[in-house]
Amino acid sequence: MSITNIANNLVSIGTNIVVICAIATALYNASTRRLQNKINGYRLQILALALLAVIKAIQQADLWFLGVALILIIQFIIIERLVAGVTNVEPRQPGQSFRSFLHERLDIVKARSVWLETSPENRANANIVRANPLTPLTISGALVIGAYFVASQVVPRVENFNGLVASLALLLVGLFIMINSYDTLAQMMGLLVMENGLFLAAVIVINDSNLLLAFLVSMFAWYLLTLIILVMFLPRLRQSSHSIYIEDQKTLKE
Amino acid sequence: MNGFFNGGLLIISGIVLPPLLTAIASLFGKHQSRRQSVLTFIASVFSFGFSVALVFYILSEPSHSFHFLFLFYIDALSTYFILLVNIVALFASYFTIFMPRQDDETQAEQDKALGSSRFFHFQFNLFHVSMLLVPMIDNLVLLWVLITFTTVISAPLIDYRRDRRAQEAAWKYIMISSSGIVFALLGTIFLISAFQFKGFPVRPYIDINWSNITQALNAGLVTPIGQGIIKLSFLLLLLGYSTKAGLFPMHTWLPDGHGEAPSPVSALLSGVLLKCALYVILRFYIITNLALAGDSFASSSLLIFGLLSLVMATPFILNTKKENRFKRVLAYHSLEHMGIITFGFGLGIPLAFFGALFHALNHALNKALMFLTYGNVQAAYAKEQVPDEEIRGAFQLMPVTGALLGLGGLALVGMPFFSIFFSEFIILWAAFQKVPTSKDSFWIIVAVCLFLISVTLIFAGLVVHLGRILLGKSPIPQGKVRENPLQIASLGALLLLLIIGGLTTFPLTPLLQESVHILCQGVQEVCLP
Repeated sequence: MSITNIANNLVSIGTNIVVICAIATALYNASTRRLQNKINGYRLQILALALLAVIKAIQQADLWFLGVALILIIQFIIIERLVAGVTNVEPRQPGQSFRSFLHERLDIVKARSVWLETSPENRANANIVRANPLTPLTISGALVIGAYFVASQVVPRVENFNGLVASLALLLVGLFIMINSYDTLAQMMGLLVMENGLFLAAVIVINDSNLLLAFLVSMFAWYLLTLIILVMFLPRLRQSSHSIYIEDQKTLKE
Repeated sequence: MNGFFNGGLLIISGIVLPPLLTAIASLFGKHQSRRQSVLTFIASVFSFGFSVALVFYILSEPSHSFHFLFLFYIDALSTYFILLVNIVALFASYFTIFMPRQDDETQAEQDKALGSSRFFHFQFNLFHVSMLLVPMIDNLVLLWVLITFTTVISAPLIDYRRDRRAQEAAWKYIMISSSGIVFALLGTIFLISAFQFKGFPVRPYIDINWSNITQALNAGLVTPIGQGIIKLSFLLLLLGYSTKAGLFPMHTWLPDGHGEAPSPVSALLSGVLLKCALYVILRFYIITNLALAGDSFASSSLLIFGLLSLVMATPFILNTKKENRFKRVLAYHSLEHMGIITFGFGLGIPLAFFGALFHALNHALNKALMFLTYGNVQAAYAKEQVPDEEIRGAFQLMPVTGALLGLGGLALVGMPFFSIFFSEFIILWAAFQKVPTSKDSFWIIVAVCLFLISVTLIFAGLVVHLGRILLGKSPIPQGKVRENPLQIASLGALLLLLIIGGLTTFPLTPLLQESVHILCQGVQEVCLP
């Protein structure tokens, strides 16, 4: 067996391990009730995807994949602070400097206490089916199997079949997290898991620079959308409703 | 016609630049809302004028199309949608002049309570530009970017009032749209990756452009790696873009978004934004039909999605509870009509394409009329502190506006001699035409029956809602509200267009025929000559 073959096999094994990690973290994300755990699971998923992008960059000798890895690492660094920014929504005090205001707004420790406080088990009328971690884990697992089943029926067994299945699975599990969430922040995490499904598809399915470049452009549009939600809409909604629970965002139905 | 500076490019500049420049100018303007609104309207007039010029330009030669600036492509189908965007934008921008505002002294208060006028006009014009660009873009990934951008720019417009309800509506809109649109990008990636271009050692950059993919498929220069992946891609694309097109099951943002936005924005959202997403679905429909070479999978999917949307809209329109406010009911009508349009395309025959395209325009005009007229009624009652759900006796208080709302409502539910009736009739006629030749004739008959039952129930539902608003005793004393003749005239013009559309498709017939010809690519049935 030549060195190239060994290298290719190692890349293939590495890719599959990372893909499994991505799905495992998505399942963890779906089953856990605490926002802090969801953020940690999401960050782990990002790291796995960044590693995959680096492997692909080396394998294909294409620097654009390093660009994808860089975007993911930036996301890894800033995500917790961004979610903290949405959690700490106290208005700026008179005379308070912008720097101190920003520092207070992005304070992770302060935000964590809110996350703990707003955990579903602390909610008096929490739906037990949604609160039980086994139920979402089972449903998410079924979605992953469903994605595999659908893909195996319709897609030819190409080289990147596992990646295709995994990206589809991440999208479905992400959507499920959104639907099953108690609070707006956890819902946001579901959206971000869906976004990771896109990254996985981009890294595994795309094999040429042109399409990857177009994909990177589209990801900037996506980030703009995510930022608008995190910086503009969620803080405003939280300020006006004084709650992060989805149950409390039902004025339109009154 | 592929030169860098050709007549087409000049016309396109005339279409895009006025609203774009107005958007930029709005940012530098002072808090003079009316002046900004007038500027927005003038920009829309110019843009509309140039889109009419584009229609003549594109019809000057048979099957005329042109590329420009590498990323853009115009043909009859895109011209039709550009015209559709601009007709509705023309009326919507005119009504921004009459939107509620305060004088300069209370401007600071207004900026807190309402979205700043500067930003409103900036976003409104940019929203207009983004929707104009959708039918022009050739690149499939950039098409997705533009559709995403329409969400980015329209969400703050829904949140214009900045109260809790508007914030909630904007939040729902942006979350549902974002989650749905992810499926569309994944579908795009899968679809592009599923094609193998013959004779290209490296994938060419142009293969991300739908015009090139269509040409290559027509010429047999490209083969899909499997039919399954094309089908999966189309389903993902349909699911993703149907979020923006307001189709079941991703329609849930419609009642909240349309219900809480200012009326000119609701008119744009309902009349135009949904059609832009539909346009994108149609482009992928053509590619899928060509790639599947005669398989009717794409048509069947559209038919099922369309029918489900129509059927699912029925109970919501029949709901006469107080909290089902009229603008929400109108939003459910969008679900109904987008269902009818998609059903038409799903029939997959030229006559149905013709009817569905015509219905798209009719629905856009009718929705503009309904949202703008009801916006007037709403504003008049709100001035007297009457909440939305307590609006009664509008016909007594505002006779002309009330009559326009009533007639517009009847047009919307498909009353004979209005354009919606005409286009629905064409679609049904096409369905009956398809029955004898189709393998699934039984299912088409079932679908037609469901179509007719839903449309009849919806007719009854809207009449009840309209009766509640128009009839009865108004809580505001008669003579307290004065109707603005400038508003009435423009609403009357919209109604006139709906009546003309009920009699003839002229002068749009050649453009519709050219568009049908484009849609027929890859479809089994014989197309128009």
